[in-house]
Amino acid sequence: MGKGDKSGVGVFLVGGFLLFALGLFMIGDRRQMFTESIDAYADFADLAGLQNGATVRVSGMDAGEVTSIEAPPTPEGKFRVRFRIIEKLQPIVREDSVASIQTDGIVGNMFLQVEAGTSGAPQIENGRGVKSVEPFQISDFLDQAKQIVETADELLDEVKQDLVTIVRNVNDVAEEAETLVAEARPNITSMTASAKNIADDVEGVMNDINAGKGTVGKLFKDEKVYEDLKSTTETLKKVSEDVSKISSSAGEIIDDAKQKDVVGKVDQTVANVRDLTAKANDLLDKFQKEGDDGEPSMTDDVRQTMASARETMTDFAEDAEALKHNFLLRGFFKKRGFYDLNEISPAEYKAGERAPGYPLDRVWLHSQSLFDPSTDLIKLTDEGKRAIDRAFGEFIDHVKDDPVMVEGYAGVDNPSEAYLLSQRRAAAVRGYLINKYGLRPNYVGVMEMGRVESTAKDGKPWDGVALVRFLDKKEKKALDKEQKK
Amino acid sequence: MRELIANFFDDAGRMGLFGLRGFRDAFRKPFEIPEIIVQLGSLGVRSTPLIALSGLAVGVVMSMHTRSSLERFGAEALIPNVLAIAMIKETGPLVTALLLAGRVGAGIGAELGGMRVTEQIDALESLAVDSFKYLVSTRVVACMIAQPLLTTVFNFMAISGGFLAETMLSGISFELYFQRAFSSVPFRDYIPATLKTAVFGFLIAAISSYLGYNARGGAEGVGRASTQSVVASSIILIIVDVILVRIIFFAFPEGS
Repeated sequence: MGKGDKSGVGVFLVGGFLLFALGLFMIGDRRQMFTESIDAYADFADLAGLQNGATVRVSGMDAGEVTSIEAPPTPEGKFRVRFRIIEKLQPIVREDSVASIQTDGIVGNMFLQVEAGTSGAPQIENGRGVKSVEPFQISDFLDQAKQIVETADELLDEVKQDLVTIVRNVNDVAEEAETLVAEARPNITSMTASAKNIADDVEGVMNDINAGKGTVGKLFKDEKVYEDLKSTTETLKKVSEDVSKISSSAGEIIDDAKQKDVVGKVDQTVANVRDLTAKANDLLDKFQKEGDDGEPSMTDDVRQTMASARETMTDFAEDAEALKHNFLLRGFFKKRGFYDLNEISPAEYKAGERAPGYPLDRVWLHSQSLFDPSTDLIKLTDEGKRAIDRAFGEFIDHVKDDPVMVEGYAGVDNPSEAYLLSQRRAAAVRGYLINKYGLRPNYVGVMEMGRVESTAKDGKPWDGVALVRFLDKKEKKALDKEQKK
Repeated sequence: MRELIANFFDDAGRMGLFGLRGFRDAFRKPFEIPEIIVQLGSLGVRSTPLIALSGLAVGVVMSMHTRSSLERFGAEALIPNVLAIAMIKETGPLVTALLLAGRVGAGIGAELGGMRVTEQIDALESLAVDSFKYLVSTRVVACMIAQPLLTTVFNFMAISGGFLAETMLSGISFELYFQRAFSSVPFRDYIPATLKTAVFGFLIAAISSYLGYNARGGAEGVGRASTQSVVASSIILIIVDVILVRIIFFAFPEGS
């Protein structure tokens, strides 16, 4: 046996032992056996298969291992799991740190996870315990997943039923809308016809309506009704899209639930689906019928608007007719289309006065009997008020139906002064009449006549106020007869 | 049949007593240290290339097979762990023992059988040398020492072979691979599994020595002894391994 052989044996022996020791060292190193460490413990009712020697991780970092597991002395007791944590990680493990038993993936080893504590809590000391949460078992997860799948199934059934209802409702609504449009068409046609009938008289009205003035004008110009209808259709479309999305995502939910860790997601989605269905139903309810607070639904709104429009048109037509027949002022009415006495100019008024067939019932009141001379003859005296009362007594039977015109006259030379004075006088009388008798302001007009030469013998211009009522021919005849007697 | 069973137990008893005597005699003066070293050289050192090469190859192959299985679960990260556990706990000790049974068992059987039929053993006896102690005890001790060391070599070579295969496929770093490999091997798996191979070494040396030492019938008897050494030690190895694993589980219950 040569020296080389002996050396070979030496190398073999030493090398083999070193290799074995290296293995020991690597295993010990992986288990943090050669690092300064502290002992701690946590209590668990269920170990979930945790074993002695299992890895301990602090916030995910390998920190030591489980050193012993003590069985509980009573059924109510808990297993005490003692473990080591390397000193390096001691500062982040606090007394409120929570230990939990977890698995490395689905098939991995069980390990003890210790979360870092809060900086407010005291640092853990050697031999002290941390809090614990019971492990989450795969079987629990499967149970939960099964429940979720069942719930999802039920929900799908519900959704399916709801879907049928929704589709039916959508159909109903569409039919209603169709009927509504069909109903509205003749109305609109007849309205147009009526409008045409009085178009000659109400050209101005139409102009104003086109300009968006007044309620009727707004109604026609306002696009809200159209927008409401449009947005309603869009909402319905969205609802059916949502519903189809719900069905497809429900399918995905079940697939997911069967495969992955999606408990939370599925729960949320289920809630969303429920929410969406409720919303869709709500929307349809709102759209279809009255709410609890008695708010009218959208279809009702549309219907009401149409009805109002119809009513307004009818009223308008009636008014126009009434004006045409009862009112003297056909000439300027033709031009203006408004039943507003204040917009009639004196020239027009005078022209109308001369128009045949619309005689006037006029009561003359002289300025001296009406006004206080110290106030430039514009402020009414008590005596003047009584005179007005007497004069108005003749009109009282008719004032509800017929407009009253207060004509003002001033006997001054300057035309503009005459105009102003006559206007003030008439306005004073008008104000008194409206206040005292509660007349409708638009039925009481002021007409500033300015200076008007009298046809009477004294030759002085008119100076005062005249109350004027317009009569139809029948009334005039009756009045004439009475006067003759 | 009855005779066959009787013969089997007769042989087993003789073999057992023979081995135990060989082990016991090793601790009796005079210690045959130089001869043990010579045997360590021929049984251990000369087996090292075979064991190392086999370990490397087995590691590469196991790593590739493990990968194809674990890939299905997306658990490629577990390859080092799985490989290390498999090698250290069972594959390493058993494969090393079987390889050694083939190489060393046949050698011992043929050598001692040859010495017996050529009456060299009788010659030793006539020189007042305790032939049993000189030939059998030294081989038993050398085998018991060499076996755990060779197993360790095999394990490291296999894990290294796994690393070679793995780093070529996934580019895993040396440090991370070995950290992962040893992270899931506890001491209770590493130490008993390695030390139990001393029993394998004892079995190989004892069985082969018994068959060679008691060889009869010339060159034919030598060949028979050689073949029987390999077959018998291999079978008994595997059977004893089953028992040893049970014993280890019993002694270290948390490893089961």
